[in-house]
Amino acid sequence: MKTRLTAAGLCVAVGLLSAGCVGLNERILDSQTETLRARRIQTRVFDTTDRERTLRDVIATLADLGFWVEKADATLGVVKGSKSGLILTVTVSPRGSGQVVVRANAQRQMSLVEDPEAYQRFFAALEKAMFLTAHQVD
Amino acid sequence: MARQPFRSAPVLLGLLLLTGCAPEVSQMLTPPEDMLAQRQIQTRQYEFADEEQVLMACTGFLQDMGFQIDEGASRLGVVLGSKMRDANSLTPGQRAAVAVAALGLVAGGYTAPLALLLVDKMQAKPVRIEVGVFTRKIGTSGDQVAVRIIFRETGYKDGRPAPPHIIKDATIYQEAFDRLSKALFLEARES
Repeated sequence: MKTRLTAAGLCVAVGLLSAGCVGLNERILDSQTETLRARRIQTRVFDTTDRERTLRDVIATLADLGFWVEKADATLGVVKGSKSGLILTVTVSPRGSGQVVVRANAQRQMSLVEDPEAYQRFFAALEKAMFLTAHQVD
Repeated sequence: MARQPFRSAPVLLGLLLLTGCAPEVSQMLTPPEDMLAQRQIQTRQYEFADEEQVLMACTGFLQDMGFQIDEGASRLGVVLGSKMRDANSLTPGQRAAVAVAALGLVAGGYTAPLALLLVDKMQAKPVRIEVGVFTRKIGTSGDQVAVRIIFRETGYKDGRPAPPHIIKDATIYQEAFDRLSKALFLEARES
């Protein structure tokens, strides 16, 4: 009985040890994440050409949501904020002649936030600040 | 032997419940109830046409308050600063006096446990204070600039930082804006 238990314990231990590590590829490239799905839920298009104003609206929205703005760069079009372990990076880039694309990327603890509802709430708050309607990216 | 695994069930259940305590991300991205009140406390409007001039005055005002400037994005109207301070209000002289009193209590024998209460009064209580200043042109003719100031404080326990919290005390902001108004008034007079 005792030997069987030890053998079973060893098998479980070997199984756990071999399965316990996330591969380098997966860790660095997030290869398990569905890129298109992530892009869709993280991105909205706004009908404005004013990229700088959009960035300022992102900063105001983050402040309203209780985030701490850590970085902002007009040239790159990046704003980064954090709140209780949740990190949010927002980029604003031009799209065509009359639109901007806003992409929000949230990370909590050790993983990417994949909940569409979370991004929806952020964009809803941003929409209010911008007085514009956000379109889903095609 | 077969019942053994069930003994750990309450522990596992407890762990699962504990992990459930962290707020949902979607909740964290929902505007808080006091959002408008906080925005009002943290924002003032100034009759200034030049946003850059206001931002520069803000930078000087942060330095007046002893802040180090960590980040500046003038095109977006952002200045971030921070400073370390000791939250223990006792001066070094007062702390020395407390140390003498503690020694006296230790020497008293049965009063020694009371000395432990004084030890805390002698220690430094480091806090990191951060500030974010955000400016924005407002008004139809663009002759006004809105300034939003947000303070955040992080305490330390056993050398480790505690979760930071945003300062919500309206009087702190009122005093900060009073000082900023004076700095802007001087700026306007000098320019």
